[in-house]
Amino acid sequence: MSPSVDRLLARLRAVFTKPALDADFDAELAQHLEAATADNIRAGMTPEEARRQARIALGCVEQTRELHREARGLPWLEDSARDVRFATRSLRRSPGFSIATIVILALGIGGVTAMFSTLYTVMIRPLPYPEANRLVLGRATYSGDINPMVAGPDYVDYRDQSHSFSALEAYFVFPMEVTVIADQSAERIRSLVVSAGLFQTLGVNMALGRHFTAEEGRDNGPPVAIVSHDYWQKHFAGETSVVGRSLTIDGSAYDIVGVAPRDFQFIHDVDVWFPLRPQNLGPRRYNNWLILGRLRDGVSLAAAQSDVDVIAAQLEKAYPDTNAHKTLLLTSLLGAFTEPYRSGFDLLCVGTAAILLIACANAAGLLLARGAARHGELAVRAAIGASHWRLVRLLLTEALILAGAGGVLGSILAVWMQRGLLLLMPVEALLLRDVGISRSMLVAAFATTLLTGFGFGLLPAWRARQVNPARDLKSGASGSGRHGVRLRGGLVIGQVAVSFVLLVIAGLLVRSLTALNRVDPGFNPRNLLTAEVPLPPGDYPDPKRTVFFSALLDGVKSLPGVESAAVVSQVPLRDPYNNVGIYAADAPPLKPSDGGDGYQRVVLPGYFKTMGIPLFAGRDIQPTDRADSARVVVISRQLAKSLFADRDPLGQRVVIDQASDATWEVVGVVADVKQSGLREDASSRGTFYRAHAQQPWSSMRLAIRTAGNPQAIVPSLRTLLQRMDPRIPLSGPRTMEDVIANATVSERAQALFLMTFSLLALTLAAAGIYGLLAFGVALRRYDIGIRMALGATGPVIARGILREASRLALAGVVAGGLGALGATQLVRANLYGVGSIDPLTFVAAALVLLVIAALAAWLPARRAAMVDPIIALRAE
Amino acid sequence: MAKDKLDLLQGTLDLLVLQTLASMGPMHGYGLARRIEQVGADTLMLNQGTIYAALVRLQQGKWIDAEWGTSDNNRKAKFYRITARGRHRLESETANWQRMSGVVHRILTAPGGAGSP
Repeated sequence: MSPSVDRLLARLRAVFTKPALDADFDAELAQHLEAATADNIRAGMTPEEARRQARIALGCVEQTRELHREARGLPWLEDSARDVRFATRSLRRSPGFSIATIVILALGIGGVTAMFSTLYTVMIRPLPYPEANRLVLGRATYSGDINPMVAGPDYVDYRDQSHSFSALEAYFVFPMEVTVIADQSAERIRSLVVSAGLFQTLGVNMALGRHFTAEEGRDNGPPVAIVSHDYWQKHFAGETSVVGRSLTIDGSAYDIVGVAPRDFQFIHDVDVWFPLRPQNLGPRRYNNWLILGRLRDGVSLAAAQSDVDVIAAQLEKAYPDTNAHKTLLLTSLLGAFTEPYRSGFDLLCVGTAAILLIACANAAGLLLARGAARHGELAVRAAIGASHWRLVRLLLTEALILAGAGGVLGSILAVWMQRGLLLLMPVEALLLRDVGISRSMLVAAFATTLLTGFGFGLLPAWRARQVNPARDLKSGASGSGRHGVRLRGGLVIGQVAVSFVLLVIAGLLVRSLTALNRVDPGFNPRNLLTAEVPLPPGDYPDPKRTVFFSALLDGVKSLPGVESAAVVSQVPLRDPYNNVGIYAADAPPLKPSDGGDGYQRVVLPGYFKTMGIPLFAGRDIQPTDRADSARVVVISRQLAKSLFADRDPLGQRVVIDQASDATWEVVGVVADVKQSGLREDASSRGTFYRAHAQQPWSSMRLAIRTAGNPQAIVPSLRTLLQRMDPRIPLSGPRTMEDVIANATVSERAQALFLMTFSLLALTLAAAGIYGLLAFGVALRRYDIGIRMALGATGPVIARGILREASRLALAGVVAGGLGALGATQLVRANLYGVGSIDPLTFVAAALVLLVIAALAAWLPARRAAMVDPIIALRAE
Repeated sequence: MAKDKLDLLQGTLDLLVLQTLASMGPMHGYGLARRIEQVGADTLMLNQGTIYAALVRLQQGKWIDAEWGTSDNNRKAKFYRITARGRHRLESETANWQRMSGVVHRILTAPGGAGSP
């Protein structure tokens, strides 16, 4: 090892073996003095003189020791240790201040830590696939708007003509429920059709068995399936013999070729995967697929995008009917996954950063106040020789100790905060791997703590440089308190401003949520139970389905507690799928791609009445609409307007994509219903309803209006279904009110977050105002005493204090108002029914802050009003 | 102490200690101090205490090592001995020092320099 390394190690060792080394050196010095004295005596000195001369020659003994120590150890480290000891002692002497500061900092640090480690876990950390940064998601866009589904034949063209990908895969856009029958009982599980190479392209190793082969991806290939790890554990008890066994799905047998690894879920939570075959792709008109690609080595996303754009342009030329203005947008897979959370996380970032800022300002204010109170102490220290640098270091050490304690407490809080965060912000399972105390969280906590310590400690510490013993010891504590108060005033104004911004955003989100809650969904959601009843299509050929559902409907209606019931293919707000092109038969669009979509629903008679959807004209679907009678359709008002404008829609004929019959007659017009979400507006084209007898789907939903609690009838409903056919499960019974509440879950989460944040911010700001005013009153007792002695009354003094509070609050509100004008832009896209610069919200937030300021000022004002001039003047 | 005595140049004490140990064999701190004072005679001002800081530095760099032993008058004393690494350093530093002092001397005695009459 080099001498410098040896020296460093030796110095480090010396720090820890100090007592032994000191004793050793003392012995050496004693020997030195003894030998020197002996020499001096030999030279003829008296013993006393000899000892004296020995000491003189050595120099000062203490100084020698100090020199020795400095050369030996790490002086700065030992000094720091001394600083830490001293600062700890001094903090322990004022527990109120210390605890308050630590708690304030813990809130800030905890929030930021939870926030950033979640952010990292969800948004930044690579996905758990090998070379995940080369995975891209392909989504179709029409004139730049993300569709996102891609047509099957388009996928094949992209796959075969592009050069940028080592593989291009496709998967169905949403999982399909299938019925698995085992041991005489039926179970609904979710399945997904994926291209045969998807698992391999992702780089996923099977827990058991193998990937799909190319052969299995051909038309009429062998019927095979891959099952999830969960399903394997649950239904095959983890037996390795599962590979090669057969599973009866929707009446057909499938061989299990593989088991996906534990926790593997891609996009959707499903239990079984089937290989995509060309025969499943569908025509170019129907967009049902999403594309996953792995970029070839050395190919950038941009290069791949231009490759794909060229193909899209060729497709547009070749198929103008279906591919006009259509292209494929490539996004990094992680980027695409995290898109939905971006705005929510932006908001959270702003919120937590604001809290940290306020916490820092608050702690700095407390530290400044303490600094002012300790001015005398610091002056004494300076007078007996502490350098300014030393004082700065001491105060900074105090700040860092407080931040450290806050950081430890904050890290503990962060674990809970993160749990709450994820609870309120449901993130897809794929993105949520091992949250909890993680390295990322600890790194975030440490960095935040350090930043915070310097952030709030630097200002007060810097001010310690201005300590001037000559002046300060003479004038007492109040001498330079003035400037401190002004600085703290600035900090308080800052806190009020940030609180105001948070309060305004929270207010806007709450107003928006209220507006959403007030939205009329177009039907009556009270006491409405919904559930899915899937028929095994193989066992129920077309005509038998309507018979079954009619019988089921009659059975349900006769259950106790049921007021009415209906059967529909998709329940509003719960199943927003299935938009299909529809247009007036006498006004076909110039190109099929111009034909707008409507939500397609299939119903049994009685649906509108049960749901409480008013019928505006004509008739609803009747039992007389049979498989062999005239094709009829009931349309919603919005669709009627968009199809026929001012013409009477009754008796008009429409063309429906994917329907086997040429035209359908409009027999009724009903009110509009929010199908996809509460925010759905007039730009949605509306819904059309067909009779189940004329479109006999196998999987339908029940909508049951009950007299009391809808969940109460679930057991009898199950019994009924069991009696009719034990192989048919009742899937996902849920009340409509629950569905609606779920529709605004993220809005509620965001509003709740911001409310919590602003409450926290308000509390801290109030504490800041209170602290500053109380401190000011204590500092100016003498002045107040004089004014009162000169005739000012208590109320006059109190009003002065209140005026000061409102001055601070007003300044903060003005600054915050300016900030809010910009900050509210962040949430503009999330708002519903309220503008981002809503005067009512701004005014209300300002009032809240003024009231809070007045409340915070009340106690100091009262204290000022009760100053007894005689006592105050005598005390000085 | 006399005003015209020289303060030790920074870092030279280490060199003096190494040289003394190299030529005189193992010594204790006081002996070293005395020896350097004697050689330096009246020109060198040595604060004996500073020698101990130098000894610590040299020990930490493993240029010397130390051991408690018995002195001439049968007292326990800490003896310092130069190591192989120390001899190596002494050689290179001595060469450096000689080169440096040669350069300084040449500059100071060059015509027109401050040292020329």
